[in-house]
Amino acid sequence: MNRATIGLLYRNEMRMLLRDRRTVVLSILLPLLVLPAILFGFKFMNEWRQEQQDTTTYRYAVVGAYADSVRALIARGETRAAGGPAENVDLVENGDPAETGDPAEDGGPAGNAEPADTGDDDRQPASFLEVEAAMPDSSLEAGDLDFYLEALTGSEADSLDLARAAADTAETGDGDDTTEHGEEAVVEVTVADERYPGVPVVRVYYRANRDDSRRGSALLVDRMMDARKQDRAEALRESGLETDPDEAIRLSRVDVATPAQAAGFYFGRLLPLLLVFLTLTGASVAAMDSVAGEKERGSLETLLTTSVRRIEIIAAKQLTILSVALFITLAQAGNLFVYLGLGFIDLPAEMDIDVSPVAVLVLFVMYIPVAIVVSSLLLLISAYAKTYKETQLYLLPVFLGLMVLTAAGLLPAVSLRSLIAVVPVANVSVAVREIMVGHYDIPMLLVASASMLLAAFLMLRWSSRMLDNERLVTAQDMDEADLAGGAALFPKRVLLWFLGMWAIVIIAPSNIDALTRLEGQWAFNMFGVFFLGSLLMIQVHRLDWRQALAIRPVRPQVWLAVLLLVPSTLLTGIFVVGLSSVFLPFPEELLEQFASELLPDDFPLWQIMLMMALTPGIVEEMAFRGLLLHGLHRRLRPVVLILVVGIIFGLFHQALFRIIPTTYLGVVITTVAVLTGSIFPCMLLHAGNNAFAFLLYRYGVEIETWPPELLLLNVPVFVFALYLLYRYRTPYPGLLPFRKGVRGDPAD
Amino acid sequence: MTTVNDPVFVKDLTKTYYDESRGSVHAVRQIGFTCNPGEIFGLLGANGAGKTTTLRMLTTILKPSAGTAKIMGYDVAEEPVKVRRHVGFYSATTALYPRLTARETIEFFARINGYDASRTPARVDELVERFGIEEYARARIDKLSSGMKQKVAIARTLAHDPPILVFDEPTVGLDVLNALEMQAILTELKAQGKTILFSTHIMSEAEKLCDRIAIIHEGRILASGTLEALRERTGAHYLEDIFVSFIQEAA
Amino acid sequence: MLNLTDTGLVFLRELRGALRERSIVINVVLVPLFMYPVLLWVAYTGLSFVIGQTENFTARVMIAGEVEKGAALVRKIEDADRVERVSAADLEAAEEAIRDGRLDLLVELAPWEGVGADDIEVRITGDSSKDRSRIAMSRVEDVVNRHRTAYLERAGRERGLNGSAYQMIWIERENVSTSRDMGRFILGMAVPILVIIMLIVGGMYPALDATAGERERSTWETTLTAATDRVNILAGKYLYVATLSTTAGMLNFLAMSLSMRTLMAPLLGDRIQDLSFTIPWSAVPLIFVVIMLLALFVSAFLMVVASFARTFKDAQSLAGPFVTVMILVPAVFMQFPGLELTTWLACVPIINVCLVFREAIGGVYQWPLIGLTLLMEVLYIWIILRIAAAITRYEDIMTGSYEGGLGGFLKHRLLRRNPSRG
Repeated sequence: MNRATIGLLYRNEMRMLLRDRRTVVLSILLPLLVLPAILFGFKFMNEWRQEQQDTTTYRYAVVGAYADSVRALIARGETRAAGGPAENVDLVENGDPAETGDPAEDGGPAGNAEPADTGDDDRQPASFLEVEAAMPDSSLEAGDLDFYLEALTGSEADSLDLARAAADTAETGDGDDTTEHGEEAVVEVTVADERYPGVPVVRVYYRANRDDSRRGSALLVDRMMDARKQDRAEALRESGLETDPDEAIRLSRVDVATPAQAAGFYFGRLLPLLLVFLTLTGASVAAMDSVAGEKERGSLETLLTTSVRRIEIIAAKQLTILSVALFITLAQAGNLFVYLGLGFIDLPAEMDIDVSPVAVLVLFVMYIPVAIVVSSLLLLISAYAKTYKETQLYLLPVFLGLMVLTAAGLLPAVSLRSLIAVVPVANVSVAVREIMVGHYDIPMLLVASASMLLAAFLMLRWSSRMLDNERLVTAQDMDEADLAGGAALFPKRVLLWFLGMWAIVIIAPSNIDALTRLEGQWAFNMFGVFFLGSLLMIQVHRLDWRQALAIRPVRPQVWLAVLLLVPSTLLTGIFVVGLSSVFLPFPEELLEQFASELLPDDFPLWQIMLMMALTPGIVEEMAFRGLLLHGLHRRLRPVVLILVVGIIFGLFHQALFRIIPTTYLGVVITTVAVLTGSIFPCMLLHAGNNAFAFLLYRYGVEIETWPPELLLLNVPVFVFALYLLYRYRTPYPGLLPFRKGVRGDPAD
Repeated sequence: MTTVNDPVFVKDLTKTYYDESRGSVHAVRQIGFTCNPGEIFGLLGANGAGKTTTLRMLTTILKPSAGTAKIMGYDVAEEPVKVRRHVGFYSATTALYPRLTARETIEFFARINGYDASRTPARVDELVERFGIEEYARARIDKLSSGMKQKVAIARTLAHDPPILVFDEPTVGLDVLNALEMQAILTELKAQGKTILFSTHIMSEAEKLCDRIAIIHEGRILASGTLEALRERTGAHYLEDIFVSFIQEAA
Repeated sequence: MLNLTDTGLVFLRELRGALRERSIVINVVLVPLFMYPVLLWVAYTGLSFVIGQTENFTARVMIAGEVEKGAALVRKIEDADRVERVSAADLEAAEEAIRDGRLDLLVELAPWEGVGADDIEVRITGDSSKDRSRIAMSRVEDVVNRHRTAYLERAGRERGLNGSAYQMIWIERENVSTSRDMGRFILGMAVPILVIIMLIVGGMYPALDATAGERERSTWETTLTAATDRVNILAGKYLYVATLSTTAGMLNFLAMSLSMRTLMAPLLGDRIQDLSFTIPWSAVPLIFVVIMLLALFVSAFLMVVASFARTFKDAQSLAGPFVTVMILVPAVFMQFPGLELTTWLACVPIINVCLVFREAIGGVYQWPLIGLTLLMEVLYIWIILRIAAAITRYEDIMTGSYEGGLGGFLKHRLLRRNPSRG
């Protein structure tokens, strides 16, 4: 690469970029203005809401024989609330939809433990108005009341409890309660855990789907508990306790984390997401324009005939995008500093960031690879797409994908000292989190940076290859297939079909009750999705079913190989799973719970075999090694083809920890399909593998506990079986050559 | 027979690409020709005959699937940068940067093609003067009319003073006056000693300008030679008739 | 005058073109149908992983100091769920282990003359920059707080205050909302704003494509030379954009409602049993009406903006700021669960529709305000269409040779008395 040339190209790019009013406005000015607008919007809305809440008067009613005592309790609570400092402290529950469904709020024993006295008073100013209500539940329903209290005397409550207990035992009995009691019996029953006989009850009825009802009732319950706490302390004093009950079992906390580290705990998680988001939004407009826009305007062709190398063009464009990305991110950081740092807008106390200069430096150094990778990726899609509009289409998936990778920093147990260090973007996200809590793992930081730079380099090289691609420079549009329709269109549509089937498999069970049962799900997935889907694809695209399903005879030796593969695939899989757990450690409990759900013991063996081995072996193979492989085999080179079909097969098994073993299985079966060109050995292998696995599980054989030497013995068998397949191969017809550049390679 | 002296040497040049729906597409099949120094060589063919693909391979935009092509002795596949340094490529379909001015454009392409930095301003002045674009040399390209843009585009093609010029259908979409101007430029360039390779589907243009002509059809060269030689071979006088008779012969 | 046949013809031609345009099909149909399942799955997998790591792990706690004296508390900590007591080492090593993440929490028991002779002090050492340590801390603190209550109760009992007298009153809170109410409440929080964002995004592409895009492809003039009144062409285009926008909105609504249970499952854990995410079918007609009105509003607005652009990209940069505002403002507003439709809010475009939508999902129908909302939306649409009609009178804008922008147009031409001479 020639530095002078790149410099010339770079200056030219920058000049054109800055003369483009649209890019300047959209990617630079607008974000700079939008950020404070959002911040102020939230600030304004928060204050407005706060004011509204402060001026709300919650309407409630009290019914029941014990009502007067409860009123007195409330009155005591209110005087205490009024006497306390009326500071406005944000309620955590503000605007959190998940919180609203929290049945922990629904009374119950937990609400009866004395809250620890933290010393600071965080009560809300709020006013309550008691109103008369003859039919409180219908008034609550109609919204005339925010909530109401039912006050029962001790004896009333006792008889109600008795009736309830009788009803409970008449049913199956409440599972939760019994376990809790079982444990409590070991310790001792206390005030906090259970109501003693004769103690009166006040039960607050509210509607959690109404904000005022939820808030008001929670506030009033707080007041009552506060008053009760005082009353209890008073009672203890009267019975002769001299000291303040708050002094009992004094609890103090020591935090080994510095305040900066503690603040970094939150900030370190948000920072990578924020940075990647800013980089993406900032760089995308410039990137989309840089190659795709030039292609569309026709000026790219001109540039390609000049005596610069493609990698130089790409490097200059990359530098341009990178400059924009860096500028935007720094400008936005400055922007945030101005508004947040200088106190125009307050941050929550726990977000009070205190970052050392060293941390800032390290963060910046870690951010540069991110900017490089993001801009390379954007450049790549820009180089791949034919037009500006096409680039925009790819932007959303790229955006979401990057965000998902960045979210790796949110996974609490993942440390940089793991395989994550080589996963681009995810590694920096984890690294930033660790840096922000003061943990500098220098070797791993270097590994992470190196892997990022490698990724960026590969993408740049790929981008410069894109410029050689005919698709981009020749005018031929590939949409002729769209006009032809039918079989010609199938390779372009096959992934969409599978995406659709996948979406159905994911969504259907949670919306159709019948599918929550194992048989229902089995029948639906096997016949409703895979079988019907395969038939539909053949029908709609007018495919030759023999070809589409790879109905071809095989040599007899193949069957021997497959029979050897059945056990050895499973045993080799143990290694794969072991390897994957290094990367994604899953808690044992989760796996066990999952296994028992998936592999029920209460079915007869023949039924399990039918549902778990035979039908998947036939129907899933039709879909994956039949149609999917048929659709993709002219589009991908064999190695990639095998991996892609395997991964898609794995993704259909939803849960993350199942994906790795099933992807492995999918890869092995697809290899068989590619080598034999036939679906039948795949069906045998799939069904055999599943049957073998279930039999082992059924009879409690735990291969994981076998000595590793025994498992190692299996490897030669596995290799031998694959060798047999290779030796007697009848390859899948029409595959692309293995490597690029082979003579007669149509994709070259 | 290959010598460094041939400005353009093409042998068995083939371009095949893969299309998901159509399978392998043979755009250019084993064509071969040579251009002599200082001549205008015309590629004549109907739309979709493979002219543009051929010229794109010669200017290294596309990579040949097979065969060789050399520009000033440099192989297009092996030394693309050197090839491009010696070629100016003009196409009616390629555009200019709308946000640069005419001067900036010419300067940029001179420099990027390795023209000596100290001589660049003089070269730019010379071209601006030659094409009469002084008045709008400092205006942005997107403000120019199509005729003005065409002049700037030619100027930028010549910016690095290449010995070989490739014109891909240069007169497509031009009005008569502009087309004539273009033809005059080609003749003038020839007089300066440049070797010119140009493609067209307009018979009269080829007849008028070319020293030698190759007739290309469905990716193959059906015939090539001087107009006289072609007349002799077919017995027809007008190029149109010559063209049709070769195509009929091929079919 | 408006000729319905011609309008219909233009409408159908646009629609047919749109269904063949990949970008439009993806934005309007495929994104709603597939994006949610994909996002859901990613969210589900990620969250179940996180929950697996945070909820289900066993906290490693070291207990040191007056272990004998605090035996009762020690036993409770040992018996607590997902807490494991590790053997004691010296305190400095323990702090180091906490910093390294080998230990989650250190509990030190010290003599303490608080309430009685058997009282003790508990000092908890953890690292608030580590998830595991934070969770361990909250688990142990919970045990200590319960222990304090039990301790005080016993202290009372020793002094003649029995358990029920000390307990005094049992306070509990009960949610009387049904699982369906709760499910709809959560749907109402998330769905309207997302649907409206997707509606705007879905409508943006066709709106810009049918105006500026067509100008760019030079088919605009062809269209304008058709032998019909210009109003018919514009009406056909407008209907087409609004149709696609509405379709995007409705498809997003359906897809989201269907996916919501799967999405919320990992967030809510077992509590998902208390929720039922059924689409309130009775609300669908009203939801359809508000989505359609909003689509008509947004389409008209975007088409007016785009008519000042000569290329699709220009149109995007012109529309960009407006779209940002149209998405951000309601997004900020809808953050608050307690926001209800009021007379004033019923007059604010987009937000009023969001609120009607949310309340309809929750089964709340404030008919007078809904009426006002619909009326106001119709009014806004009418105003924009008036502006659009004014624009069509200017030939330079229609043919794309107008040099000014929207602001300039409003200032110089629309607000002048006599537009035909402008």
